[in-house]
Amino acid sequence: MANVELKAVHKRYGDVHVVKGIDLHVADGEFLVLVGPSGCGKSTTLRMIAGLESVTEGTIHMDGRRVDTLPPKDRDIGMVFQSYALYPHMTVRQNLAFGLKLRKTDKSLIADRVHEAARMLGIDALLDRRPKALSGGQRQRVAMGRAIVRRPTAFLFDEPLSNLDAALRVKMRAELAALHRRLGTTMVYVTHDQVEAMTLANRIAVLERGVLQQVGPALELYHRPANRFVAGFIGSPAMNIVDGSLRDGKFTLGGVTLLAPEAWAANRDEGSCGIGIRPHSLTLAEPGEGTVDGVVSVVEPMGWEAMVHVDPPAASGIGPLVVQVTGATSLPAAGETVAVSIDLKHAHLFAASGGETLHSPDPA
Amino acid sequence: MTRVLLLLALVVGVWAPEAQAETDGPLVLWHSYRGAEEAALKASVAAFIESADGTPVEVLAIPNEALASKLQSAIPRGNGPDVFIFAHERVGGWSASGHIRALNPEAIGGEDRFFAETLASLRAARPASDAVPDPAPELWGAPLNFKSTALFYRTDLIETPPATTDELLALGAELKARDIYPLAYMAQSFYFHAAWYFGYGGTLFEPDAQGQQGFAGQGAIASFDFVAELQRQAFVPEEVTGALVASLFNNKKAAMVINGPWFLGEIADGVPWAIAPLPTVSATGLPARPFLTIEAAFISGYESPPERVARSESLVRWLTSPAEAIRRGRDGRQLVATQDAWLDEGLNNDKVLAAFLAQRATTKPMDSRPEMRLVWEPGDLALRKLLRGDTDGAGASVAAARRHSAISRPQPAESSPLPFIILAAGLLLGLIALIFRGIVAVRRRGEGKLALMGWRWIAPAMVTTTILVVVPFVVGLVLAFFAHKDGDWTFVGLAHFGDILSAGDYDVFEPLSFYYALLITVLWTAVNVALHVAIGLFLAILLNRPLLRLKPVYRVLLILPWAVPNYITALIWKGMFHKQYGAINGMLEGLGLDGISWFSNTGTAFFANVCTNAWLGFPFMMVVCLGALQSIPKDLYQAAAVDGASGWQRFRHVTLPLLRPALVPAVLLGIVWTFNQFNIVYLVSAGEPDNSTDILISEAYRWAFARQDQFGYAAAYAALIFVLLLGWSVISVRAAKRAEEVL
Repeated sequence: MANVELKAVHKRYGDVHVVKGIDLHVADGEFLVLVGPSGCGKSTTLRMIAGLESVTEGTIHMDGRRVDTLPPKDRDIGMVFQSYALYPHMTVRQNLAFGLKLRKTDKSLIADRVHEAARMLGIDALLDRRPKALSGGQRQRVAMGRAIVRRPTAFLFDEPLSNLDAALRVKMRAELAALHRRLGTTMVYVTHDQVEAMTLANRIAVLERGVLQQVGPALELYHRPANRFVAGFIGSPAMNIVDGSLRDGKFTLGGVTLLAPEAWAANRDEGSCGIGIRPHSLTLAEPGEGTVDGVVSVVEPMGWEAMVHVDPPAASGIGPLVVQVTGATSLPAAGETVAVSIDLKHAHLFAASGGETLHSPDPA
Repeated sequence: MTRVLLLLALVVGVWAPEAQAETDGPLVLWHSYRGAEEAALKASVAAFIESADGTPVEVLAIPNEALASKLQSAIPRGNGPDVFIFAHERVGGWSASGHIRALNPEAIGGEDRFFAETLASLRAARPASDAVPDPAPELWGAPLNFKSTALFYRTDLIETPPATTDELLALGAELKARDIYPLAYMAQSFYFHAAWYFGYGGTLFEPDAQGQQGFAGQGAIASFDFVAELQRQAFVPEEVTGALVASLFNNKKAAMVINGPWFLGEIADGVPWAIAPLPTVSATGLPARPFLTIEAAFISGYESPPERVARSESLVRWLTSPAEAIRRGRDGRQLVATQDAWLDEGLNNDKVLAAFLAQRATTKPMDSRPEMRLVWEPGDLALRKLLRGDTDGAGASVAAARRHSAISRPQPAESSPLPFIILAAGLLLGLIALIFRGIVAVRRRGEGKLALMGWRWIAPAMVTTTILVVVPFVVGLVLAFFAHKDGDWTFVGLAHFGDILSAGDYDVFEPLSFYYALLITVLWTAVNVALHVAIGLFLAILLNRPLLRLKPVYRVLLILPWAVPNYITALIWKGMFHKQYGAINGMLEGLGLDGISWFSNTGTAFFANVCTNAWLGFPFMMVVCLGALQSIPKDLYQAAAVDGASGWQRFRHVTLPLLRPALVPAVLLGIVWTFNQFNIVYLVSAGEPDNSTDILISEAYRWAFARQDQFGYAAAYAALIFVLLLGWSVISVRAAKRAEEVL
């Protein structure tokens, strides 16, 4: 088991600067999820930890030992790939045993470890099959088993659940969380799916364009996003973000002026800024009785809740809004005109330039 | 409808009916002349048409290498020409098989019209019969031109050409001191050696002075010793080819050349030269007598109305007349056989023609009986052994005699085809029954219509395959049960297979034994395929490196050996392995090592073959490997790297096993190709030394085409090769399937 420490890590491919100085500390036994949109550098960062990519600048330490100059095999890590990367010509047993065999581990020990891992993952009945005879979920388990048998000090996961169907993904997510509890090993996990990130992580690190935006526990990121990007990225459905201006304690968006809550006092003359409101903090009202009127474009009923997409008129300068309605008895139909009520008490306030958070509401 | 007609046309083309010569219609003349010779012939024929009663004549030029086989297949069907021009060498066989018609000398202008020597090879006895037990020899062709070798020499190096071999040797010592080869000729070829052979009193078919015959005679041994002496003193270059002779002579590196009139075109402008008859052999006092070959006009032997034969005779008479001979001599620069033509000033004053005319007086007309074709291989074998320094004259003579007896296999006894016909009929019936059962089964399932549709779809492919593959295959297979002699086929049953497999005529571990050739073939295949895979894989791995610059350039360069026709590559490599002028020995000598006589030793000759074929074969494996490498997901390597595999372990545990599915079929295919890689063996080592590097397929070729047309025996060889490869395919298809199942 180990802690992992990245110090000012950069990665450049020629002129392309992919990772721009990441400082990150993963504590021993922690489950850290690197999350961000495609191309944000999260996979590259993980692969630098694994040793599959060289580090252009900066250092990586594991347990105080500098590893960025070592080949992958000397870093004592286990890795699970998105494609699983199982050896197609080997049986499940051989796949699991491969790493140990290369390390010239005693044969009986290999057998013990393989069986232990297989039992843990529920694949002991599949040991003599080849990967092509396995389902996606089974392959996924084998890939994890391959990492487990070697008992590495850290596990690296590169979008391991992306190739699974939705139901299986949920199931495997839970199993992964259980696995982490059981092994207690440091895990670094890359995903673009913020649901995965929030459900699995001890801490989440949000990356965008090679820059680390915020690191913290899931709820901290949810409630106190460091900036507009994190606010928009974390949470599903995504936060509604509307631009406006704040002058003299009054917030103007479109043609509507709202009184800023007292908590915003420090920013009462901020000027241009943005506000973010989670869909569940917006409410629907009769036309003319809310903050802004709009036409319902899509209604997504989900049983106990529904997402109502409302398009305010173009002239208002307000983009589409998503309103989460829970336990509603009657939902508006698409094409119907409704009003959306905005209560600034529940709104996050973002600076216009840079987008850093100026104020977050207290979680209710 | 059109399709049906096309199909019919195809069928008719395959089973061409026996055409009957008509009385009318133009005379047909086949020849293989080109350039000035063809022009002269055409002018001659045009004049004939004009002079005669306007008898039309159709002149058709056919490539020389195809002419004999075309004649042999066309004439028995009555499709051939009325008159054709060909070398005299087949007179013996064709007169016996009825391909040509005996000529009435008077009808073609009388025998006195021709030089006596030129008639000798055109005479042969009809086959003996009960009525005429010992027939007198008849004349079967009218000589047009003659050819022999003579002595070309550079007048800036030699004032008077040597009149005797002693003078030649004396002159040789002098020239050698000046670093000039006194004599350049293809000493390893019996055709060129023949001059010395007969000059020393050797004989081929008649007993010599000591009552000896053929290669065993004293004259033969003495002639071999003479060549060994030339070689020992380095008076002749080594491993001579026609091109080398010309190059040495033109570059003043060789003073004299023994060659025929065809050498005229190879002498460079500005080289001062002249021609003289070959010297007299000092030891015997006899002149060196080169072979005299004759080009003659023949009349086809098939049934033809008498008036048509008469017209053919008048055409032959016209062509051999002095006036037309002068035309051919002047315009075509041919050495004409008509005596009176040489009264012409133009011919007589032509020094070149005159020199060959003088040489004619001391030539040996080449025998025209079929057995002559069994002389070349033993003769060449003896000379090569000698020139390699493996043996002396006596040893060469023994080797030649031995090889001669080995390849002139006695024809196996005729056997009754009845059991085979019954067996074949049984097989055929079985096949028909099987097909019938299939049809019944299909109809019972109610799929008759569907099946019919399927058959209609594959019919074009089936018809083509049947015509191009199945028919030749069956014909080839059937041939193996027949012995061929001069156009006659005798059913001999399994005798050929028995002879081949018992290897009774020669030692099992000697060249010419089937088992020896099989061993060489297996070794050849194994070594080559191993090299192809090793080199191909190595290069593919290099090319597959993601950061390699100029990758497309390397890829094209490395595929190039594959794109060049393989016989060209083979000839280039053969040149590079030349003992004296080859690039490889040049490099060795540059490194201070001794040059190697590559084709003198089985091991080195085999090595030369393997080098050539490895060069030719690696690009295919490289392309296959490259494709397979590119299809291996990069993830697997990364997973292996994380698992702790070193570079070698990644190759061993990831690359190799994942290449298998692509590589196994490629290797199995490569084995079949290499097993039958005729071109390389035939062109590079040519089986040297002494056929010890011949593989099965080149051995089969020699039986068919270099050893008196033993087609049946060769077909049996081919059938055995087929059985071997069939067995191999069965094994390999299974192996390929297993390899594919892995993924």
